[in-house]
Amino acid sequence: MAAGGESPVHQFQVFDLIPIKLGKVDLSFTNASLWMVVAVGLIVLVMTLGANRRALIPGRLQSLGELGYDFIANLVRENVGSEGKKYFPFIFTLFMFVLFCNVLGMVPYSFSVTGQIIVTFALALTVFIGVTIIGIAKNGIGFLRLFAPAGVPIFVLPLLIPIEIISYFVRPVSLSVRLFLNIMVGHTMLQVFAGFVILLGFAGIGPLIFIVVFIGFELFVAVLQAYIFAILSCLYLHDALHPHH
Amino acid sequence: MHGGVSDMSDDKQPPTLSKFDDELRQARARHDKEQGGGKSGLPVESGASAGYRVSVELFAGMLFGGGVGWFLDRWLGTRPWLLVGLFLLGSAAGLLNAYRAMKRAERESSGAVASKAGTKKE
Repeated sequence: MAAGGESPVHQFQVFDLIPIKLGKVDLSFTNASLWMVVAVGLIVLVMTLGANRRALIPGRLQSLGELGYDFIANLVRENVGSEGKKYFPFIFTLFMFVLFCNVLGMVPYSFSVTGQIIVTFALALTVFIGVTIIGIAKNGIGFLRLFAPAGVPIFVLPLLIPIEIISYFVRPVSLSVRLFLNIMVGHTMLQVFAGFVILLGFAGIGPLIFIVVFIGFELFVAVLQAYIFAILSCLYLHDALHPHH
Repeated sequence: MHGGVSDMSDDKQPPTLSKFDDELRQARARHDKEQGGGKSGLPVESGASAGYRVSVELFAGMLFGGGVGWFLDRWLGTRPWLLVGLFLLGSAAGLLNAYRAMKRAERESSGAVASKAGTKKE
């Protein structure tokens, strides 16, 4: 979608590939769905092929899988504690999905699924609802202590509790907005500077060099944001398991 | 590594599985204690991206407060009071979240330095 004359945000347009209508509900298979399926397919491919050989000295694919496993296992152990091991599969899936969607979005002519606020918000909301259910299931009514930190004077509580409750409900918003903004802004910037290259003619070599550097930076952001998404989910999980600050 | 070469004859058997399991569990417990139930630092995060993380926190608080206030106002017909009140509360919550994120980032960076210094001393 890099043709000149198009608006820089044209790349985020969702369109139907296979229109499916169920009554009033629009279930069409869009380009966003397609790239999510591609991401999931690639993850499954890499992981199964990597785990296929189980060599003592890992090959490329196997070490890729092992690196990912080790990385997330450490992340969960250090941020949630030993009792977080149960939730490792979820965090691992989440990390891999966000990582592959981000990195696939860097491929020319592809589509960045994580540049859609509704996608990141759905992911963040899944984390939020799951973590809240786990917290209530594990701690019962004691989970509410999360909203009333110990050692606070009693006359401050009426003001503090609403603030704490809102700050809890803000979590899915900040989690999703962070990922969406990073990806969306980066891709728009790339498109705008790509427009400069064409406009400036020979002097376009300047923006071109900038784009080369910036694509490297965007790849770094793609990986970092997947990591931050996973680590924040771990921190929320930690809070849910230990509601007393 | 305790016995060395001398007790090769009587200590030939490898440690039993249950013994190994015990040792593994002890090592894990030690590791947990050293980490202090703790937080790992962000190894690659620069100051700018930490600041960015904090500002998103602040912004999300205002967005959430204002958004919920606006919807409730429309629903209950109390414009504009809930919008104003919830926007202020949301901003306060955003500030609180931003403050916590900063504290966490600070603890992470100082913790990483401390643990590095600790391993060097040993």
